[in-house]
Amino acid sequence: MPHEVKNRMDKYRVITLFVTALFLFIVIIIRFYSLQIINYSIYESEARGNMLNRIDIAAPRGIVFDRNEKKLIYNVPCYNIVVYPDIIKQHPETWEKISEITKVPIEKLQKSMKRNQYGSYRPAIVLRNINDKINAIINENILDLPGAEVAFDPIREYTNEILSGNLLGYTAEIRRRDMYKYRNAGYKLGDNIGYDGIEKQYENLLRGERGYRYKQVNATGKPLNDQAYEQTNPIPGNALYLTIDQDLQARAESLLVNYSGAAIVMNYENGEIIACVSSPSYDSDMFAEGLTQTEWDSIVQDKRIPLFNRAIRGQYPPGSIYKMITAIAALEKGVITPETEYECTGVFDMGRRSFKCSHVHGIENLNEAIAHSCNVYFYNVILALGIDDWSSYAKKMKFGELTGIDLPGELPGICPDRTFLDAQYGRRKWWKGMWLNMVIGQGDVLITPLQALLYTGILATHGKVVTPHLLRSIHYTENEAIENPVYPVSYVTDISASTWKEIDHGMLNAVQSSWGTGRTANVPGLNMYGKTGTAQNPHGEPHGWFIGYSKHKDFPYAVVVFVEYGIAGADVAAPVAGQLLKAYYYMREQ
Amino acid sequence: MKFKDFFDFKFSEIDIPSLILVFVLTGCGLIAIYSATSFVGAESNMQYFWKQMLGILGGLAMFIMLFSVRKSFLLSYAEVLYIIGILLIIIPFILSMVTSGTNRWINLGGFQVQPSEYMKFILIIMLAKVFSETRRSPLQAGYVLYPLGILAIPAILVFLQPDLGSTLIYGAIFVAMLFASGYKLYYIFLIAAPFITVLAAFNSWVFLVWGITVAVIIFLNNKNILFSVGMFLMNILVGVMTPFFWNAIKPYQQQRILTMLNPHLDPMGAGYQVIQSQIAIGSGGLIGKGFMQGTQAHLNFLPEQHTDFIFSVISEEFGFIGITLILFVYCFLVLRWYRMAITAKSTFSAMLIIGGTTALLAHIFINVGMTVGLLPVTGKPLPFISYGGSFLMTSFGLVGLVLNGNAE
Repeated sequence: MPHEVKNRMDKYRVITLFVTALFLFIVIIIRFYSLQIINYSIYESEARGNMLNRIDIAAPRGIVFDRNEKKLIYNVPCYNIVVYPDIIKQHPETWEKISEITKVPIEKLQKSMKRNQYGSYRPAIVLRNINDKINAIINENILDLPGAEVAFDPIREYTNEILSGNLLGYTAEIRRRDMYKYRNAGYKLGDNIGYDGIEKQYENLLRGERGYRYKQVNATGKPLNDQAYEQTNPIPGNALYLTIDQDLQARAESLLVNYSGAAIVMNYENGEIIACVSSPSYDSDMFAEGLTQTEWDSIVQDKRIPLFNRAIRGQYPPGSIYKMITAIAALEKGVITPETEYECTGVFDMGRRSFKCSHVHGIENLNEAIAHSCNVYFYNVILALGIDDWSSYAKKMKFGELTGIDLPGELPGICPDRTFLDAQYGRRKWWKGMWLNMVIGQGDVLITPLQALLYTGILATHGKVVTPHLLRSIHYTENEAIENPVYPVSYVTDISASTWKEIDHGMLNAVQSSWGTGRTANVPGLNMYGKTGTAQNPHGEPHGWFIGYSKHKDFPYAVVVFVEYGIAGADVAAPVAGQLLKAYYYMREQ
Repeated sequence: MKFKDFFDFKFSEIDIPSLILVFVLTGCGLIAIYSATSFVGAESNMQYFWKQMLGILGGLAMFIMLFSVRKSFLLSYAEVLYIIGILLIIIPFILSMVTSGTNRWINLGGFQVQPSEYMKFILIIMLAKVFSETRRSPLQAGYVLYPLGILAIPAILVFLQPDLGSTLIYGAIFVAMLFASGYKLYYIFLIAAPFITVLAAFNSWVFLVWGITVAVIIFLNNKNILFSVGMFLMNILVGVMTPFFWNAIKPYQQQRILTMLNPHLDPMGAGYQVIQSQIAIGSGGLIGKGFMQGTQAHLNFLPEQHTDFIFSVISEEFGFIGITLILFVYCFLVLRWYRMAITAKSTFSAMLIIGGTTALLAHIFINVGMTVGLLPVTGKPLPFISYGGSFLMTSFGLVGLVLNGNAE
């Protein structure tokens, strides 16, 4: 048997191994220090992200009130049947039971799940808005329905007193193809968003902030239990108080019910819109419950285009309501005096063309010409005035630009000037005959009913330019603060008092004299001023306009009524305008 | 021959502190295994706990056997043991060709034997004998050839299984014992240089710097100009060939190697384990989430949590403080055992101590390095703590070998 030899191992080599081992342990300790102490918070949140599955809780949208605190838009409880795709996959019998309870075929339920599915562990809606009876049956049998439950999800409800979808808008699920626009703002697929009207304009105030319910899950993503591990409650959207008066809005709708057109009433001192109707409109509630294809087709294919908000997007020739601009410009520039007279023979010849008037008015001064709405008088004036001064005063009246109303999609109309004509027809390719068309609000001049109203306000206040608006105050849910937005006001200052006096006089006679064209708009006691307009329309009957305002004490309201194919301003528009202001006067009295 | 010629139950010479601390570690292991095998929502399952207890008994038996075996017997029969060990590694290879099963295990009727585990003892004994009895001078280059051959046969066989972890541990045992035997550092450098060259070859700047370093070291130690130039050229050749080999292997193999180096390249696949392990460790923080409170472990995010990644469970539940205490115990043991090599009575004993201690140190570093993401995932368990009877027996056996070397 071999014998062991004496230990002749080099001591320093062993010490080197010793030190190497110590070094390795120190490296490991440093690594643990880095992971557990320095980067603790990173890994801590990753571990939480692993174990917690987040389920969204939708925030109820803000409620919208009218000026008298009547609810225009609110939420009603809605119960939906939802399924968890991963669980119901293991329990196909649940499908049969749901189908039996709801009498909806299985295929339809499953199709609906596929459409509303955003992942295996997120609940997908299979049936919306079930009634109380089905809700009760499902809740009683919930233990026999693994993978299904009833989820509460408020839906939007719009007051039935008015039918102004154009004004209030609607909410709908974000279209998949639009998703990229909203992702950065925190929206997710399946979220609702405001489309059109107030719902769109004030989306950010109304949407609120979603809450989250966290459930503990294991590595396969399966929830451990039904309890929420943690919950952040949603913050409901803010309440909005509008300037609209629901009753006047309803009255305006009913007055226009047989016509296509628009009617707007505004406080010309502060710009508050009291009623804003575009006729025909649509029912926002149809969208809230989810539109069927037939319903959608019936709206889109309607020849009267109910989705089109005429009040702010309809651009029409203004007709005679534009004549006051010419009068102001001519008076200010000294081209005419109030006593200047022209003779109207019912026709005005220029070059080879004849320009007609509605009647043979004979010799008239400015006051009579406004009240009678005589074209020939203004043909003479524009030829003496020229287009440049005329268009500069039109711009002072804010034509050709947006009024700044808080509604989406407003259009600016066209306020033609020399540059515009050059661009449109080429330099020197146009002739003065076009001026004659434009001065009576035809030809290339286009305005929206809202612009006409703003113009009316400027005439009523002798130069105050308000910002038309619908939002009166915001009541924040988070801190219960109330904000009253301030809207910019400006003034048209360089028009003399004597000129205003002449315009007032003409508009007073147009309504309150027995021979004025707008006498059907007169409301005794309201001290009404106004002007009719009839815009020739190549597609059929002319469009009728009426603008007017009351100078009654404490009743600073202006109105515009526009009726497509309304024949003449005096026929439909003026009486509607008068009735609207009268109605509102009595509503306020009560 | 009598039984007494083989074994000597010299229990009075057991190093008591070592044994106590080993049991402290196995105790920590039992606690961690109990926690790691209890899942939320599942019924509590004690079978792993009891099986581990059984493994500890088996380990104790292994400890007693290797502690008591006479060194004279080991010296006499080292070659026989070595040959038996090599045959046992080859057998599963041959069996796997017939049965298309795994080539790592031998199945003895419900009881599995992994020959590469027992080869660790045999390799240590064989190398200890070679290094303590050699007549060659450790200052000669050729000194290494015979021991290198002893290493190469099992290392290559295990590498082909493929079991990278065991190959690395064999290598670590060999290098430590070679170093302790007094072999010239320059020659050790020459052996290690080609492996470093392969790694350096992936970046031309690193390769340049490394090439210069090699040249300088070879120049400073120049004895034989032909030998020196040959060594230098060999390293350059290895470096130049590396990119060709890299491009010759299949993309999925490249991917596997790259993921090994950076787990975030494949977070849902191969890198998943390491990332989840790091999350578990990092989220433990200073004091941990508490016993049975680890979300990563109990919600099943951690893979292999009772075996290879048991240290992550402990880190998550007991935090930096708990981990430091355990590492301190390991460190204390390893350093204490290395020190025994100096006071050992014979070179053979000292070599047994160096080999056994290095084997344990390599296991600890490979396992912990894997859980913290410093080393690739090789699937090596942690001595005394990881679940598994077979490996407990190896670990206890290595302690037996070390303490045997320390005894008279």
